[in-house]
Amino acid sequence: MPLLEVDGVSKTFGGKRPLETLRDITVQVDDGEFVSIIGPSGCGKSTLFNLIAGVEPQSTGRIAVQGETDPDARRLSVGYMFQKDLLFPWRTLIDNAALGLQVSGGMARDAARARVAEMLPRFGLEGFESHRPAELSGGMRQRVALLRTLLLERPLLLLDEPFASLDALTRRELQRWLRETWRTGGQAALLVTHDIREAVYLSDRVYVMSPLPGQIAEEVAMRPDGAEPDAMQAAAIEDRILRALHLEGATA
Amino acid sequence: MIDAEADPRSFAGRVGGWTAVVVPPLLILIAVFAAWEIYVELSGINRVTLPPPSRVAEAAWRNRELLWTHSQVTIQETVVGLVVSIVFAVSLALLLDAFAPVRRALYPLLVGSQTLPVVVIAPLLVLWFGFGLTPKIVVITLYTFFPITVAFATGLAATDPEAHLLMRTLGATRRQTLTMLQIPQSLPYLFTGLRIAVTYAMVAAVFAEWSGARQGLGIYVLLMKNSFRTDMVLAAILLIAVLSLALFVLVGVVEKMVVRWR
Repeated sequence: MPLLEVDGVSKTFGGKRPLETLRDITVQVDDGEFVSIIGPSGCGKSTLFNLIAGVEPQSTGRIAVQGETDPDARRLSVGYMFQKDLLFPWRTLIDNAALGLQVSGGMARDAARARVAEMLPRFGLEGFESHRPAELSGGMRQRVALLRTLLLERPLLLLDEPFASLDALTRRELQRWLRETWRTGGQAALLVTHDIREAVYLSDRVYVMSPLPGQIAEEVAMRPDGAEPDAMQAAAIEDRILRALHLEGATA
Repeated sequence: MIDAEADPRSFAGRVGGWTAVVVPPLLILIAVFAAWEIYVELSGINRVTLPPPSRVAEAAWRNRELLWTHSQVTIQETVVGLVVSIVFAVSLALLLDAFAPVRRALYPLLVGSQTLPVVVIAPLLVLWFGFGLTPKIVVITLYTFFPITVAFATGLAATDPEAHLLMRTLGATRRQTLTMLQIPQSLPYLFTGLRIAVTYAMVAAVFAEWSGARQGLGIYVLLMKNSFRTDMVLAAILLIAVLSLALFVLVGVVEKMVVRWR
């Protein structure tokens, strides 16, 4: 059984002029897999995440995480990292990272802090425990948000353009760091992005989505033969994704 | 960071250092007092009708013990009244935020309550509750709860929808969302309301005393006016202003301690 099954899911927002946002989406993620969804801005990627996370009902189709379809149960099986870091300005770094443990695990503050403190070196945040978000760089804030999500230890991570708001250098650095982190025992993750290079660099598999209403246009495996793609192969894959995006854009 | 752009900024923080806050208004005050003194001197106006500041200061100093006795009563009423008002206003704001039907039912009535002429009601309150503390608390609350309620309720409602979504995905209960997100987020708003409220509070206390009391600056002013002691009336008025200002500053200090992330 795959970890995440999205089967024939559509979403139409009601109202006077109904808006069909997603059409017949079928996606799956297996244990330990890093999968990206790539598509133009406003193709319903974030909507898809809201459906998977169980905070918004789908119009048709089936969504299951570990076989569980109930939205309330599903919500607690996914760690959802938003595009904005959503750190609370009144909490220090350590308390922001501990938020999930306190809320979700009902952990006492000191226990949650101790748990966070163990992880800080790996996230390059050691020594900044008592800084408030306003005193941190964008890259650091994003790492705190990721740590807050990871500490929940939920089976599936949803990453909604986590690097979109960062400058190119910081983004590159964080991507590299994320890739290294993932190599050492990563959870399964589904990443939404419109950065092709990022998707190719980080993923085991990539889904390409078309513009509104979002549909899966193509599915690309990064290493069909199990080996790391070299620069040439990576370029070829990027090219293939680019073409899929363009073609869909032209016919939609 | 969650969106904080709509938040009211700290007033003291914007103005700058200590001296920059105190010196300019002090200079203006000195200029006004000087002009007043000179005017009384040159115009030959009756010194009972308009006593010069020097005489007001002198009268205040001579009666300092009496003024202090009355001040203590008024300060006590103001503090107790404010505490009651804050508790009432905060509870009300939480109620308005939690239940939409309550909000729809109460909000127009709350706005309506602000149109009540407290001047007319105050004597009735004395009739109902006597000369003690109760009518003062009621008047102070009537004067001050509204800005606190509105400010705090605005803060509670102004939380970033995405932050709410985050709390939902974390599996937060309603209470956790309230205590970990909404209330901390609303504290700067609450203090904005408080700063408005405290400027009214002491005036409200004085006014309540005016309508009937045994002690306090309000009743003192009334007695002095009736015996044509304009110098003492003015001394008491200046004292009320100074005390109100002190209360305002105190709120600012507490805000700095509580809202430390700004």
